[in-house]
Amino acid sequence: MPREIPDPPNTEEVLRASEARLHEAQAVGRMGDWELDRDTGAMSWSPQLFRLFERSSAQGTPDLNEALGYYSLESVEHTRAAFWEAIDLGARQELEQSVLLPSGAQRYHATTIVPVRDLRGRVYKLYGTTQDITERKLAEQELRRKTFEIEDLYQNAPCGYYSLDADGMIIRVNDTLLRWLGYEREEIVGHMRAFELFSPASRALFGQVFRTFKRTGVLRNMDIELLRKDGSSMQVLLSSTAILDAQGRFVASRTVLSDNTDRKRLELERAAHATRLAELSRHMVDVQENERRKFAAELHDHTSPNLAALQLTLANLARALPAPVLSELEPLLDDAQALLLDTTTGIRDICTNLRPATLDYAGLIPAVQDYAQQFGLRTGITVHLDTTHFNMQLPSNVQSLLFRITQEALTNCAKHARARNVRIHLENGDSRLLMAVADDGIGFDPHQLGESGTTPGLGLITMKERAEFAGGTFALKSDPQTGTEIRVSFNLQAGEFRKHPRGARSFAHEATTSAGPA
Amino acid sequence: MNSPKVHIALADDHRMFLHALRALLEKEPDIDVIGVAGTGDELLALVADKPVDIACVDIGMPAMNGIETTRRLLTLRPNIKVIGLSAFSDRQFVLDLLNAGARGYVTKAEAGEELLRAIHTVQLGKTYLCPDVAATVTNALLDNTPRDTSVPRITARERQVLQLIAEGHTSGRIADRLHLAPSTVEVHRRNIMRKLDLHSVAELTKYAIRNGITTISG
Repeated sequence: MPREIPDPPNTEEVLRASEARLHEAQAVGRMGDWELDRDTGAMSWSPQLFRLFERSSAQGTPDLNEALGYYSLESVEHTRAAFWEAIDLGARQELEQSVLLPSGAQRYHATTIVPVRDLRGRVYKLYGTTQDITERKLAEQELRRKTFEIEDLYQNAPCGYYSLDADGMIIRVNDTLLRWLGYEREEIVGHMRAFELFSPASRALFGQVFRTFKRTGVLRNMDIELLRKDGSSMQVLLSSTAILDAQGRFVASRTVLSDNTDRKRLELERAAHATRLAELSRHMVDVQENERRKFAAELHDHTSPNLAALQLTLANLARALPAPVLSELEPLLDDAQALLLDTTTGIRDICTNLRPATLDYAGLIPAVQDYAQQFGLRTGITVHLDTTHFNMQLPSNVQSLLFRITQEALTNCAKHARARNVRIHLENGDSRLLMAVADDGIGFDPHQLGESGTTPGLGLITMKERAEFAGGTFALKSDPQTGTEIRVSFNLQAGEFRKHPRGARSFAHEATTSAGPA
Repeated sequence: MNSPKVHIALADDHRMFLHALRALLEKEPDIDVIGVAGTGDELLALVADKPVDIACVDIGMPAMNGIETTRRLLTLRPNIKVIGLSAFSDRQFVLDLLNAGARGYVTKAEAGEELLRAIHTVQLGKTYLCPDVAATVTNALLDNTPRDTSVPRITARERQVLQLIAEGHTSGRIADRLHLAPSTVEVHRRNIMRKLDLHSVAELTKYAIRNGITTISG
């Protein structure tokens, strides 16, 4: 800027050099300076200013009005106002403007306007600087956008956030959590401690954990029940990290809560389904045993006596025949008797397999004794029954279960084990009932259970399920050295084991048929 | 048997069986069926009125079962001899009935010949178990009452079939010979094995030779 100051001739070069440095600095800082004469409205621009406004020196320096034409609509008015205020009030102005350049580019400028007064105090001239602040402006906008995004993420995330100070006071909370709980921010922040938002059970749990958390700084996936303002509850999963100072002292926590209601509900539903399934299975087993009992009783009470009556009738018929006729017909009568006998025996076997009358009449031990004896006669395998330490009355479903397991184990033993001896061991203490069936056969690989038709399979799997549904545990051990052993045990302290006084023996059909005397 | 007639009472809730049994027993010259009862209570009333030597009692009667009936009957009339009749041959029933004081036990399937045998045996003061039941109680410890279990008996037809089996004939050939269905021959074979407690053709053959049912003919 040429100034009307007389300079010593030898300083001119110095001045020119200083001006060059100024231009260079302005170019680097993308900054220009200008002056405005109040009375003429004429401006003078530094060369850098021309570049900022994409104006060639050929176009000459614009006056104020033309210069205002560079500004975008939202900036032109406050720029004009700033100039007038600088002139009228003599006050220094600083403002930012948006500029539309001839090339179409939008830039941001920061302009400083400095009024200069004459001796009477009148503002006769303005000078100032204009700097291109586009980069800074865009960076600021980006920062604002990011900040907004982060804030939005914090406030409206699909999970709840809060932070606590060392006393457990809530110092920050997000909108999502406020929406979940139905509180206003002011009701919570600085007024409530975290545990006040929890159900009593969760409060106790949290109390234990919070102290450790302040030391370790990590808390993961804790099941918490929140209480809403309206008193209703919701299930969340809580995780926290602590902010510690340089000395490792707890400063604050950052906590995230995720809505666990659905998962919790599914868990409860799954548990309910499992219970229902167990009930149904128990019921199914009971129904099956009852049907077998009824069917066996029906065969016993009607079919067998009918056959017996038929046999007697045939005998009566034979005696009524004249001797010559009888001797001719006797082989045929023998055939008829033979058919009756075979049918009767078949029915008795069916009854025993369906449900031995002894099981209902006399209980497990006599039923197992009889079955083992029949089994021994049929297969040649010796069965040893040890009940020395057994002295209790069992609920009928457990009797059925243990009898069926014995049946199944012995059947497997005869089919697959090539055993010579089977030991059945039954004992009870005060707290446990155990039945073990062990053979000295060739064993099998329990991992292949049910995989082929030649190993004991479905039967054992069914037995295991039945034992477990009845509340017992089932264990299977098998190897070629020692044979196969199954163990079923029950916890006698649990559930249905109440010691009954030993009841009078009765026949199964008395409970299931109501036939009166003939 | 030249002793005076035995007075017998029968108790069973199965009417057809009761009447068939009565008809059978009444054919016996030394037996007098003096009454039948459909329940335990009816039997107790019956023995209160009439002189009874032997009561044949069905075990599986509803309301008061045969074991309880036996116990009460013997309290009332200790001299009566009770024979249990049952569709069951389970050991526990037999033992409980004998412990209640009964002297005999016959399954209904064997109620013809075997019951007569039982009547005659208990009349002599012994205990009688039909072969079917005797097998199931062999392991059980009973009192020392002398008892008689008979040799298993086979029918004339079973003898014929056993002879042919022992002589090496197949079921089909035996069926042709006797004009029977092969399935009926199979039934006979099963019954014979069961009655004699034999489990193979070799054992059957050995039995047939020992008992003169067949001779070794090569």
